[in-house]
Amino acid sequence: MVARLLEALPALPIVVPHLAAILLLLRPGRRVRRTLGLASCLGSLAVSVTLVLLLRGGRVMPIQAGGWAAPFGITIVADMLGALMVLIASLIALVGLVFTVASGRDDRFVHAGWQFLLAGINWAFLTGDLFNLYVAYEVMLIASYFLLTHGTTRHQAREAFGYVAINLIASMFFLFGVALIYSAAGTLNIAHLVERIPQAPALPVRAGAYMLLTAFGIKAAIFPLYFWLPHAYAIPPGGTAAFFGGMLTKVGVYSLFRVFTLVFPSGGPDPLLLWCAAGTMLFGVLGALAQEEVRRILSFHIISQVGYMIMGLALASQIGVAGGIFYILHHIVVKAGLILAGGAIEETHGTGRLDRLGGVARTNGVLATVFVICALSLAGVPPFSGFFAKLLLIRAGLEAGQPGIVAVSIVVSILTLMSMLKIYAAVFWGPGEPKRAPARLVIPAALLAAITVAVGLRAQVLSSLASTAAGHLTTRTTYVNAVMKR
Amino acid sequence: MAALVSLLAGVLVATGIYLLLARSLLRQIIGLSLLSHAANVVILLAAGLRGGVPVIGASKGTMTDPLPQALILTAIVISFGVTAFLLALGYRMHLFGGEEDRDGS
Amino acid sequence: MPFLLGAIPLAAVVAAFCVNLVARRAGAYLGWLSALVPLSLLAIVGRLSGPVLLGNPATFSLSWFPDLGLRYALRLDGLALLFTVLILVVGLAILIYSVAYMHRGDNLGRFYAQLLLFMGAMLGVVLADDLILLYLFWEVTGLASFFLIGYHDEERAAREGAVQALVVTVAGGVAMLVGLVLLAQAGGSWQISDLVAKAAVIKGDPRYPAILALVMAGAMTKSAQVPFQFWLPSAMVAPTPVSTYLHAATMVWAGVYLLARLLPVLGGTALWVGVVTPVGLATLLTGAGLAIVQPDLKALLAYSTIGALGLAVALIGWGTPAAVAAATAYIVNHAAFKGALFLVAGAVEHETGTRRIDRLGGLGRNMPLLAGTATLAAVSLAGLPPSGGFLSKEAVVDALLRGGAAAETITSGALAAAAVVLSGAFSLAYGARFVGIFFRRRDNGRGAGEGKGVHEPPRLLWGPAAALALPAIVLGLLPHPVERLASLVASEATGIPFKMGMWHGLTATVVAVTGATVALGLLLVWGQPWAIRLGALLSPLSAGRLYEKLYGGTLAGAKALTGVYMTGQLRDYLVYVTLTAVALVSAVLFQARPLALPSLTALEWGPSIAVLVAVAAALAAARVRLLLAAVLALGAAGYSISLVYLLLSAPDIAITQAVIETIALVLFLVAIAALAKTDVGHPHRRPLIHLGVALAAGTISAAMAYAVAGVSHLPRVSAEFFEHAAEAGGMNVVNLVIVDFRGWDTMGEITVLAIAALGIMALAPWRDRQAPGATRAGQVERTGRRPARKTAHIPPMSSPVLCTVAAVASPMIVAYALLLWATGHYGPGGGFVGGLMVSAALLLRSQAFGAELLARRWDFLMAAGLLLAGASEAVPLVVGAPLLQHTLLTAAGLKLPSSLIFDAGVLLLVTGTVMAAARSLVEAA
Repeated sequence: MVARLLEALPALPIVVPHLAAILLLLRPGRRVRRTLGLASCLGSLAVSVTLVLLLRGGRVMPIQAGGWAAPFGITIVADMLGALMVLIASLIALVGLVFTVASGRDDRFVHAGWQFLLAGINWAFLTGDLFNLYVAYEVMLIASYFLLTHGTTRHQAREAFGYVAINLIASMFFLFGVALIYSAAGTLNIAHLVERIPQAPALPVRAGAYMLLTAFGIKAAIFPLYFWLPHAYAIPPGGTAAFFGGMLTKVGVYSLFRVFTLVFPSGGPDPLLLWCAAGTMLFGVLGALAQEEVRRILSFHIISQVGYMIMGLALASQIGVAGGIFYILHHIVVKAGLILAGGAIEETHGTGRLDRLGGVARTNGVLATVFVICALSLAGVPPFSGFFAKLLLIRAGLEAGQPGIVAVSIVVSILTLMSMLKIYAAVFWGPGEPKRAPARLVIPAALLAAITVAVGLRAQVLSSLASTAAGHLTTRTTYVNAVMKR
Repeated sequence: MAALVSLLAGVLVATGIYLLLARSLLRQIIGLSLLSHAANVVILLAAGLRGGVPVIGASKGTMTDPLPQALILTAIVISFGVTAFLLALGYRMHLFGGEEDRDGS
Repeated sequence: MPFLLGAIPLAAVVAAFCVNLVARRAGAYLGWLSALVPLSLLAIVGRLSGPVLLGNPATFSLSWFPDLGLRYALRLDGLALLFTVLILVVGLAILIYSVAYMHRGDNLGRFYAQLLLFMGAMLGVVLADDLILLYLFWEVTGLASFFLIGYHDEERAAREGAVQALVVTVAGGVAMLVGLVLLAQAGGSWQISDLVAKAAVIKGDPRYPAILALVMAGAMTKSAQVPFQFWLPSAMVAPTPVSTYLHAATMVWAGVYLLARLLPVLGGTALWVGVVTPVGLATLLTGAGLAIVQPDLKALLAYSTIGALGLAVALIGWGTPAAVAAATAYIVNHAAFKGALFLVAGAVEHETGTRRIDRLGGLGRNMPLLAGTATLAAVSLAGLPPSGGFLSKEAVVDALLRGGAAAETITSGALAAAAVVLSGAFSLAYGARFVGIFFRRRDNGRGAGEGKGVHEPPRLLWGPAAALALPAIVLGLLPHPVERLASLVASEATGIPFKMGMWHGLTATVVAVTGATVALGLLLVWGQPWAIRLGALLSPLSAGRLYEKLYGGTLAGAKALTGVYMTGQLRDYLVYVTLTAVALVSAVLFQARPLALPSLTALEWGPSIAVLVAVAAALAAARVRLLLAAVLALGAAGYSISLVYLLLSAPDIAITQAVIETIALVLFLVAIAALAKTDVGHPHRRPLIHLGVALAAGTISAAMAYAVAGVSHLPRVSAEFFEHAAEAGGMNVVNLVIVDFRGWDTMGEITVLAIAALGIMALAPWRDRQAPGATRAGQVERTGRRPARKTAHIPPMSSPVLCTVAAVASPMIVAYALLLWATGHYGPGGGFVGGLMVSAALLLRSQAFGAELLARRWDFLMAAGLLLAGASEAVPLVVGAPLLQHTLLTAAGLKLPSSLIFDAGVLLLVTGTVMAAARSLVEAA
């Protein structure tokens, strides 16, 4: 029984929030609702921590759903990348939910939608099947449409409509890609695709790869597909925005990492992806510099930071991919921390506009510290996690003989710092009569800031996990053999 | 037959995109529906169009690939769910007042 | 004692946090408490320094980031000892000074914590043996500087100065980081002590010029070298203790330190001398020259500091043992006299409330002790005998005249020496100007110091200043300790044993240099008013203005660029996205061989007609003006596509598509009732562009679909489905795939439906908020009776006919639906279609017999359906079979596949979903 349960562990991060969501459909009272929601996030977190510990030695844990062996049925696979992503998703879901509860914005719809969203996200990270990934995406997306439009004004509903429309286009591209790849390779299982793609006819494979690149690229908000993001992420309240801003685009980034290493390996630095990375970084940060509102600035930085992750992927070496994975994990924590810190200010002052705020640090010392830590980490200033993320990428870039992308990443990190200092100087410094944000709104962001500090102090821990994860992606045989039971 | 079905896919994409670029919310939703049809038709093409109904014993000779059909079924239902949600969203935007041209003009 | 060495930087950092914690309780004693930190660290350094002075560096090393080979490695050698002592001694003076200088009302806990944090980081910079550790501490000093400059954050100048300083130094810092990574790659280690041994390899590496340029960028920004010098004067808005400590005595010297540290690794080449020395000399002349025209005491000192930094950089660039030794002596002396002068400036401001030179005068009468202190320091600053400043400047000139590392640089050495003499004259001039505030009447009558209220500053303010000013003179009389340290540093940095002797007696050079300095200096004092006018004329050309232009230009450029493409228009974004996809796919297709033309003989009549009808319907949907017509055309397209499915051997899809199309059509019609009025006459803003984009996308999609249809030779995995069908207990393979083989897809699909329904339910109640008169849901529950809902869009047609039809038909429909569910494994049908039919029957009943049926909690049915489907997955898990395992349950002689339970869940969910959504829509209408 225990062994069985242990075997089923990779499915639990999907099942736990899904079950919680179903129970939340039964209209429980406020107390039960909150307990259930938080317990589910905690449960998912506990499972994912266990998974990471189990997989540390380099194992890959597949579940053949329904007992139908791969490639025949759907395989749920927990490898290190998937486990790490689930871990971070559960953490952000938990912290975001705590903030949402603390700000009193949690009605029954929000709780149910939240758990469905987490289930969808975890699902995307754990499935080993290309079409099942599409299904997971749709679960996640419709939950996100729902959370985004819940309790909005008309203008916001319009922005949300744009988000839905763009994502539906992306879903269409995704299905095109699935169709092309299935027609070429005759299978949907990712591990099986790894074996089949080299034998498959090149034309549909390449067309399918580009369709998937477009689909994932839209969700990941890479250049030139990111336009929807700043509009959509300006809508929801702080807690939801942190969950969205931290996690949703990263599902797209994750998919790019999964597919463009395992299924379509490039063998060397990929010029197309390098251009995408450079464009994403630059246009994102320039967009951020053009904004005058905390949330909008942070939204553009999501884009710009995705560029760094893609840089790691584009370098295609193991250290590059490992750097990219490190960057993803670091970024999610820091970005959610920033949005929550911004959210605490918005909730307290009713605005996030730079020209209406000032002197917040005088009454909110802890909040200011939290913001500064996350902001500096985002800009890659030591001694926080962002510095090591950047260092790993710079090293990988120089080793791969790509000084151009390294130069871009350096310039962008300076511009990022400029933009963060713009927020800090306008919001936390200067004249003004700030109110004090209640501790319950500050604690979630403080937790995330503590994590970026801790990762900065012991970067080795995360780095070795990221490099295990990257090893599965770049050497491929461990993953394939585990799924195909060889 | 594949050529004709490909043509259908192309027409669905073209009309879908064209409607999606229109100024009226409802036309945009119609466009999205056409696009989801397009995706399904492309999956059908991936199956190959030859062969009988994939029910064992129902037809003689080769049966067509059942997997893409199952995928299409899933995709149809999902896009239906999304469309229904979008219509409700549009309805709600309308009840807030004003027209739903996204120009804001 | 390696452990003690390892603890030095961390102790200060930890102390910083403690100070912040006890700030409230310690009150006025906080400064004294903080001063204990440098004091105790000095004791530790004293214990460690014995072997170091004999040439045996102390080391400490811990594994830190093994993936990269980084170590927490510290090394205390002569150079490190020099800076460590400077940091601690000046730090001690500063902290004591702050006790009197800082006001009680200020946020002192933060202030002292940041100072101590800086101290720890600065110690880290000079002790680190690992390149990345050094960089890490390097940036932390910049951060501490940022917060300390912005201490008076209500002032705009403070905010801007802080941001400017951080942006400039971090920009240089990250460039340096790249340089350090390249350096480590070229030398194969992150440890500086290892790299020294590999110096020859590194200098021969093709990356050497890049490494030098990047490292230089970091050093130049940190140490305010031309053209990056501008941030330092702007940083003078910081409280004076901060300016003294960070921006005169320690942090700004980090760049100089780095160059000295890397001299044995990178130095000695023609490129090194040719880059580093000219930069230093240019900075020396710029700083010294601009110092004489400053109207503000601290600005004057800041430019003077820039000059001093330039001199040190030039000497390190020169790279001979004599030059390095001279630089060392100069650094020690500079810290003493410049620190003292800064503290004097702070004390003057503290007492008089101003730092403007033209408003001050005659202060010496009321504050003789401070005046004396300032005079001692200024003598050293001006390089006049018998001060330490005098000796060190003579050593500098001597070293330069002796020639450089490369033998042919004798003439350039003379030129450099001339520059040093000129700058000495400048320092004499501005030194005189500085002490003028004590001894000279104010230009327009009385000096501020002659007023009644001005008196000698408290002991804690002039004491530390005097403590720094005295050594500035004493080191001139007793130069031995400095000589010893400088010799050690020079020998280590150049690898050539060197013994420094600063006083060579009264040689001709000494007389000439001193004479020229004094003469030129007096000339400059006399010509100062003109110089000030000239300075004002040149100020628009300054690098500071350039930075502001660059900064503002970046922001404006970003705004302009982003404004162009971020239009806020969904349709523009859709165009970008579509064109990107089209471009990518056409790139693939153009590489392909020409496509074979389709053969018309392969066409089958039935499907062809259905396809053509669908094409026509889609075109009509895009073309028609009337919204209703477009919706109907969409329906027609959907039905004909469903027909295509049916004719192409896909009956399951055909049925589902047809049923869904019907429901969708109803939904569209409902929506039209509300939205049609708002449809705009001209549906497209830019019809031609949009048409073009649509056609491109359509063409590419068609080509792609055609090019790939059935080209693969690989066997499909689905072939196995037929073999496993019996095992799964069914004949309809599509149904088996859905409920069994790929049950997880279906689980996701019904989850999507449930969430969509939930979303619709969540959207519905907004109407209560919108219309003030409407009944609120809460009130309904309280009164216990639910008022009859208006069902506006479906006209109430409770005619007897409808009632009869509903009464008869609905059970039959439900029965048929159940049959579809039960036999789904064997033929077209299944739980999904079954659920749609059940809900159709229920909707029919609610139309006939009233909305009560609709008002039930259908979301509970949704939950039940999801639970049932989920449970059918979990049951096998509990009984010990794999998740979603197909199991055949035997009940009453019938073999029932467990997937049937799953399908029952689907049925319930679909029913619940449709009913819940319908209820919400009806309520909203």
